[in-house]
Amino acid sequence: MGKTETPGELVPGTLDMLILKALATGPLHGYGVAEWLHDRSRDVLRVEEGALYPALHRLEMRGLLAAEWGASENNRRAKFYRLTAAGHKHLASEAERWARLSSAIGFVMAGA
Amino acid sequence: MNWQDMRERALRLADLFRRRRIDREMDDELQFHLAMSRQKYSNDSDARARRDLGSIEKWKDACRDVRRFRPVEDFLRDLALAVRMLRKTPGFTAVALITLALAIGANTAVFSLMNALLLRPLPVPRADRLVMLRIQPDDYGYSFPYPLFTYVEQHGRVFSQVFGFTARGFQLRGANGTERIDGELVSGQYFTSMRLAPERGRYFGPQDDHPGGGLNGPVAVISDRFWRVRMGARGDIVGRKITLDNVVFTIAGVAPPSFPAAEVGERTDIYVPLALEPLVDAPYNNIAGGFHSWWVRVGARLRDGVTPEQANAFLRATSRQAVVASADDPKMEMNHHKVTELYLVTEPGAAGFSYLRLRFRKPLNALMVLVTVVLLIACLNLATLLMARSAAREREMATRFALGASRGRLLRQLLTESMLLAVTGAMLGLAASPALSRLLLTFVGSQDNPLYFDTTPDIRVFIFTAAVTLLATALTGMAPALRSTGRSLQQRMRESSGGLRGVDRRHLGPRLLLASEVALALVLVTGAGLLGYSLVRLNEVPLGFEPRGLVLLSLEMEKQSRDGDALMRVYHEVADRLAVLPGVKAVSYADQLPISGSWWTENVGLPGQPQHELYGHRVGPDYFRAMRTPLLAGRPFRWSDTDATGRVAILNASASRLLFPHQDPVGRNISFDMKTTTRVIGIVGDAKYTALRDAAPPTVYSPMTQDVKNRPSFVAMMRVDGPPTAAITAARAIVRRIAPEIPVPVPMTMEGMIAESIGSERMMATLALFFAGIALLITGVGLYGTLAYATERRTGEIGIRMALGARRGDVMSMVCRENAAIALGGCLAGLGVSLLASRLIAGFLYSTSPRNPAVLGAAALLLASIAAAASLIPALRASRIDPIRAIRYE
Repeated sequence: MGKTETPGELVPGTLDMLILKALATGPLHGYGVAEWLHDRSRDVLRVEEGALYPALHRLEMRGLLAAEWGASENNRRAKFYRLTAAGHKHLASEAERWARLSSAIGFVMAGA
Repeated sequence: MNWQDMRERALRLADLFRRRRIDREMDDELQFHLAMSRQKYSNDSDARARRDLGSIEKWKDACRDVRRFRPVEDFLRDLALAVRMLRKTPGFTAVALITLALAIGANTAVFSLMNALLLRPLPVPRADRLVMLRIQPDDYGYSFPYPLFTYVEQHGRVFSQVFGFTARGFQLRGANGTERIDGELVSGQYFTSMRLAPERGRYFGPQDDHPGGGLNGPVAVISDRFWRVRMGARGDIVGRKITLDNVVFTIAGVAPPSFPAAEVGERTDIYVPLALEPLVDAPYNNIAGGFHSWWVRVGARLRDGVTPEQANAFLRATSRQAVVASADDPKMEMNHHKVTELYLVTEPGAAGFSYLRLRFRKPLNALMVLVTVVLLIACLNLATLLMARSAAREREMATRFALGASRGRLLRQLLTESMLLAVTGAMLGLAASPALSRLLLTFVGSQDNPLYFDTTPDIRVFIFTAAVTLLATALTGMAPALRSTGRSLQQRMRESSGGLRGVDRRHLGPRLLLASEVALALVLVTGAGLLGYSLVRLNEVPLGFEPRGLVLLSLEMEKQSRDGDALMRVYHEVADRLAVLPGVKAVSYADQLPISGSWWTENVGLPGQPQHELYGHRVGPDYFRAMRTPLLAGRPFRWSDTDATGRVAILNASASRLLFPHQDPVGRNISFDMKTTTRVIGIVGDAKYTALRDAAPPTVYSPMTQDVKNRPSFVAMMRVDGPPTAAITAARAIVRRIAPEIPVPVPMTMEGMIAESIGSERMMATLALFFAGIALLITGVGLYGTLAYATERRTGEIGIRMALGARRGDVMSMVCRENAAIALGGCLAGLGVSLLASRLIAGFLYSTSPRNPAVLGAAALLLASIAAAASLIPALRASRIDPIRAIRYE
């Protein structure tokens, strides 16, 4: 495949957190989550579908997300995910950890 | 593990059962995604959409992985494979299942019996708080004198209730004459301590447990069964009167069906207050007997918060005080102890009390060892069979290894197979175990004295069987599985591709297993042989009388109206009528039956000289002719020997030697208790009296016609030629006519009674032989199966040998040598173990050495012949191999 510049690759280990963040504002279907991330990152981040759906299912199994079937904006049957209480809590702690980590990395890189 | 992990596992497990729906939903979800993205990128989408379509299966796989519960799915796949493999070899599967079912069934059945006798708690609330009281030192056991019981009942502060009980037969007077029913005398707090509500009416309590009865007079509680079967389940049962032992009782209530008999294994139909004992026992009175009469069993319920240790400490501290307060003479001695040295302890009473437990605990434990060995043999056998079979699967294993399966994965699969065998075997065994338990019970009990055990499997039995199954799986599966997965890939490929295929029996492992199987079987066969030999010795032991053809009818005279000479006339008339029945050769009476387990002793001596303790026996005229005990000198008793004609007695040879070492005793006088002057009128041969194992004791016979008091009961004995049925029917009719007041006697035979007296020996020997037979069968199958298999795999090799000039005889001996070596090694090891274990079995044997060379030799010979028989067919088959075809086949 070679080096990819755009779309940007995810920082490893952040996908779960990003999905939770995407759902923090309200329920979305899988495609919606991908689009939201793509838009919000100003077209930098693109999630591979092959990674997105296993992650969604995993989070659902762990009780951080709940899923139900509903109608999409173009009136098709779609599976919508939303955050559970545990999911909210998990997102908060992950966000805090991420903030600490990224500012630390920022310091280090600025110091160089 | 946190709750999220647990939730995840639970969900995955649940998903297993709706896999199809989940798959469809995943499909829908991904199709939706594709549709959306196709819509958005419709311009430049062709390449992209194709890529998406190509990867859709990959996504689904990834998602499925997330949801999958891999261990269970693998297990299910292993299980399906195992079922397929086992169905492919039905012969092997059938042998394995039958073997395991027998072994596990036997284990479960014996355990069920142990469970019923030793472990199962009484079906009452908080049975764990019940205790039995026992008198120490040990030789006192569980029977209390009444005053000691009442003292503990009133002063036992550590108990919430104390209860006394004793099992007893009652004579119930009804419209059709008098019947015997089984009942119990129980004290006032008995029902309260059982904590079960009555089914009807009320129980009796302390207010009814008074001499002569309480305000309502004598009351009784009846069992549910008695109410339904004898009383027709009538609704107005409470308040009705029944006559027991000539005393009229008012029925106070009915106990619920689950109400336990105080003695496990017995059946109780009626409960009567303990303090009424003098009424029903009249003219005897155990309560008035005080400290001379030890007859009450005592149990208690611990007060809340009191531990058994605290109760024991309390009893230890207060026992002396209790004995001093309740004994009329604190200085008296019992069983070589001063009564003041006695003290009480508690024993766990949750499982109730049973004299059967004392009698059968040791045989049952031995039996448990026996069936465990059978199980071990079955497992060893299966292990060798599995090993032989795994040799056939070398190629399959090698292929799977080559395809990248891990050793753990293959191990799991092989163990799944043996587990499937074990679980199926266990289910078959569990299904068979109730029938086996019942069979065991008929061995333990007898016709005259049936046992009522609840051997229905309970949670303990299931846990036991599950544990046994697990053990069987591990034992049978582990070794073969480790072996067949243990070698490297290269080794495997080399072996299965080249002509040099390993002959499995040449390895040490399977041979060792087979040899230990032979050794264990030999130990079992030896043990069974010894027990059987000992039983034969017991049966052949000279008794001093002839039990065959003796029919016994117990006449219970205590409760009827006649006594003294009038009663003797009844006995005389019955005897005369019985004597003329067809087939009846002689008729007589005895107060005790020999070998029945009860006897009494007399102090006898020459007048004015020290007394000897002799065994006493009161018998009727013609007794020695009826028993076929030889009269050595003098004359037998006659109906005309009455008090008026002077006291007479007959001695047996031992008693005669003891009392008159150098004289002819006939015509001389002896004295009972230094009081009487009794003339010796005859000498008879020695006869066994107390037990088969004991030598014939010195015995003094007194005539039933003298010193008659308190309406004595005697057993009528008829010597009958040929089948006794007609004589018995006629005899019962005669008794009913001449003595209508007494219960119609239940006929017994002397042979049956003797057989019952060695019931536990017979049970041990029969079961040991049965299990030894099973062990032999299993071992034979194992030796045959593995050898047949190995020989078949050597067809090519044997063909070459024969082509090179080996004769049929050579081939046969070559094949037979395989089993000969194993049998020899196993027999030697087994003999060694038998000799080492001989001390364990010695206690069960009667005049048989546990190292009896005949039995040991016969057992070894038996196993050797089994091994030879098992080798014969494979050897014959090998010798008939056609070299050309064998080599071509290869």
